[in-house]
Amino acid sequence: MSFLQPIALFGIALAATPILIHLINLMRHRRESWAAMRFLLKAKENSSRMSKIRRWLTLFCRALAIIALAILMSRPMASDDSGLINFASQKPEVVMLVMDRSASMQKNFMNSSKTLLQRGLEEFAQFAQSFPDSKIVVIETVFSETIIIDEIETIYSNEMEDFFGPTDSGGNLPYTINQGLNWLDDAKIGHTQILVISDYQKSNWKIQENEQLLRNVNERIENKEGLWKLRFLKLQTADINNLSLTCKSYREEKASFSPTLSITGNQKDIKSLGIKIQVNGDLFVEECPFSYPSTTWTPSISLANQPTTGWIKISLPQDSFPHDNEYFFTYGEQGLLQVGVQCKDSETEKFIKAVCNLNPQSIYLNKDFSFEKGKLNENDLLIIQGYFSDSEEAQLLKFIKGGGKVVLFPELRNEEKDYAFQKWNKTESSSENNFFDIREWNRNEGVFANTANGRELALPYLKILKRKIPTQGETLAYYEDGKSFFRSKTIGQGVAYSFSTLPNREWSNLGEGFVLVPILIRIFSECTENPSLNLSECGDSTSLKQNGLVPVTGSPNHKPSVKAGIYKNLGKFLAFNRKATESQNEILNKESLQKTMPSNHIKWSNARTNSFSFERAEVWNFFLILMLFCLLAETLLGLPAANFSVRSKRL
Amino acid sequence: MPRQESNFFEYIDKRAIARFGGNPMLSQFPMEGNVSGHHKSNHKGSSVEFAEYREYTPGEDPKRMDWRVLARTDRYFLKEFEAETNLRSYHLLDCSASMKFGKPKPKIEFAKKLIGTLSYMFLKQGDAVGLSLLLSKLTRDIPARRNPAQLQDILFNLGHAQASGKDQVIDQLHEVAESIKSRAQLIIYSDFLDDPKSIADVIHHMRDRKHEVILFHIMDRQEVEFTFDRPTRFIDLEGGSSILTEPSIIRDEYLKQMRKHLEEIKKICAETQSSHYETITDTEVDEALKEFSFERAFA
Repeated sequence: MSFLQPIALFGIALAATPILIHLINLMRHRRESWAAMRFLLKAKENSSRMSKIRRWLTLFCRALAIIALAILMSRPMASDDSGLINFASQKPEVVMLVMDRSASMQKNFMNSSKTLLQRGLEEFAQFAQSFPDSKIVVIETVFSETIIIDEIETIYSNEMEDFFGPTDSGGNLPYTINQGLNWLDDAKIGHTQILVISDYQKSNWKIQENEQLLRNVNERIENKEGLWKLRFLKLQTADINNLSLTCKSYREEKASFSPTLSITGNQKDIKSLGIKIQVNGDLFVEECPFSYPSTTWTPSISLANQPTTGWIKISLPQDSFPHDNEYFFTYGEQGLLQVGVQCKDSETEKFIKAVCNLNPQSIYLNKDFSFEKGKLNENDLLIIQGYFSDSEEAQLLKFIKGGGKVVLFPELRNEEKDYAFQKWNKTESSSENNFFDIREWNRNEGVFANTANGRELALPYLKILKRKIPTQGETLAYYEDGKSFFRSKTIGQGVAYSFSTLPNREWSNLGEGFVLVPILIRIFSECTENPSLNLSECGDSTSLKQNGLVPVTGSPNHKPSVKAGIYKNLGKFLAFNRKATESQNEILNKESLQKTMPSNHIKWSNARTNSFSFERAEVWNFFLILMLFCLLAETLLGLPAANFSVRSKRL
Repeated sequence: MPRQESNFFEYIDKRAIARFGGNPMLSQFPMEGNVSGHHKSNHKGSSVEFAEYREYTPGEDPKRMDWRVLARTDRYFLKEFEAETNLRSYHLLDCSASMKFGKPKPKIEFAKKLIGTLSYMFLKQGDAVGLSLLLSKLTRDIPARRNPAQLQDILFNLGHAQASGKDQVIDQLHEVAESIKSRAQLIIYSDFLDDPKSIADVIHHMRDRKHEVILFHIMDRQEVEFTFDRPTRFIDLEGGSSILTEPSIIRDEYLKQMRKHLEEIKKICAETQSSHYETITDTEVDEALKEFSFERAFA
């Protein structure tokens, strides 16, 4: 029990008042001459034990009535605290929700039509309402970043769907809790109530892997000596009939695609399933034999008469929990980094194309690329040398803003024309024996970073005879005279890298490759950090980095970080699937967590099915009834004996 | 000696006189008076009320011989009639300090009104009335007389009677019982706070002496109801000892003791064929005498 106005509890001291009045009355007695002393003496002598009990009961009732009144005025709140009464200040600075947003939280809550996530949010809303003056902070498992919200109702709004809505991702609860504690530490928050809502799915806790982290969490909570209170609320999943689809592997051939699918279910009577297969939107159904509890099925999906790149969606029949019924694939050369090259200087072009052809397994040189053909978005990276027309520049700018990456080399000739997003100074030439030397660059990260074994790039060995200094963007490498050798400029969602010289013998020995090759490979590598894999999972690092992907199979608002489906980026299809571990329904034993986190300031509870677990209703009515009862009892105890009344009436 | 003038006529309750003045107040036992009256006598005598035939014994007055019976049977019989005589009514007032208690009227003052009213009524029907004030150390007696001037003596003495001193009533009642030689009506006005056994002894003593005993048990409302609501130090009117108590706690036990005491006195009265009347000082005199008057009128 806790109190909204604990100051009123000082009123309990007034419970001594009836006793004091009793004692004062005894001291301030009146004097009465009396004749019938013999009865009085006998009465006092024989004053029954019952009378004494009655007197003490009367005093007790009066004191209890005052205590009940004091508690009533202190606005008691019922809570699930193990302690009967909690006198601590009940105004935490922050009420934090650590939310398990994994896909399994979309299952139905026990005996309810609501999902675990919805129920968890309702529980938190109820929990937070008890602390109306506290700041509300939410951290969830997908982004693990804290969100401060002004009003608790925000968690239900559609605008916050990305942060509080359902996902197809996994989660790492210990990490998220730790992140939440880090935020509290950084923000120097004192009194905090932290609520962790989860279904305790084992895959989202990774107990063995996170054991040390959990111990640290426990230690940090313990060190706060009750200022931080951590509560775990387990949401129990309803027993439902469910089929689940996961992919073990797949084999892609020229005209067919063969995924190895694992179908698990908890219904013994199902013998076969009608599996829906969509290839680039063309739907057909295949019958799959099913044997309880799981079946491995490898359909051969024909790609005849289909585009060279595309997507496949495989769906199980609808069941009580449809979120694990779909799996998405892409096929074709989705995995290669597609590079478009267009250079006015043929020697530069030759060098660059040679670099691009170094690793044909991962880099695909788009030989058909030209500004005239358009379709810049089909490429991941463009390498451009020289100026082009205004319309071509506009195409290039659109490509970069849409998330594309461009490597720019300066124009061979001195022209007055500049790109809107990059401008080079006039050509500078050095004397034959006095090259432009590069002295300074970022050795720690980026395209000029040292190699894995700690060796520097051979930039000092470059012999640069001519240079055109790019003027826009962040300089990543400097000449000896402080001018920029290489700049990087972020435009929209994309990046433009600008060289100051050309891989042309008249300009420099860049074409010898010892500098250009590693730089370009690193740029390729940066580009391949984009989702080049055609099978990614929601919530993983790849999905989190993706912006501007266009959903193909889902709602236009869907994002790969939270929703499984086929997405399109720069003409390439990307498949994001539900986290595979989410199909492992193994639930964590609470005791194993308690062993790791035994702090007294950590509470464990299960969500109730019939009421809210943290319902902290004011319980003043109980104390009002108690007070009235005490007053009534006091009145009855004060009444004279019934037989006396009869007697005196007769007289 | 000139008779003392009395200014204490307020002790005669006019409402009671008006209400019961016409009713006879008869004794319940035969009395031994010296003149003819309304009460049964223990002697046979001339009267209209036939009593019995009795065989003549030589030496007896031949006036009461029934000559008709002698003529018919040739035997000597005496025809006897009930004698009716006056009574001597002694009013015995307890003047111990406990009778000082009572609000708004002390018990002794209420008792004086009862005595004054009854004395008037007894004297009016020709009975002799006497008064004994049972003081702590001595008894002031006014012998029973039937002349109307007796009322003034009684009222005068009542007016000067004060309740004080320790309770010696039982001993004095024994003395009174012994000192009155012939049968009489003894009306005791007291709060009877003594030991029931000693009260029983004295009533038995009085009854043994053939007296009719009537007890006016005078109590105050507070004594009966014990309506005190805060801690009180009770100081004994007779002994000066005190007791501090919370009345609400001992009320039940007090009332129980009180009832027990009353029951015992009533039991004694029933055993000795004595009359017992409970009176509360805040009632009117006529109400207090109603039961007494009713019983005496049809005795």
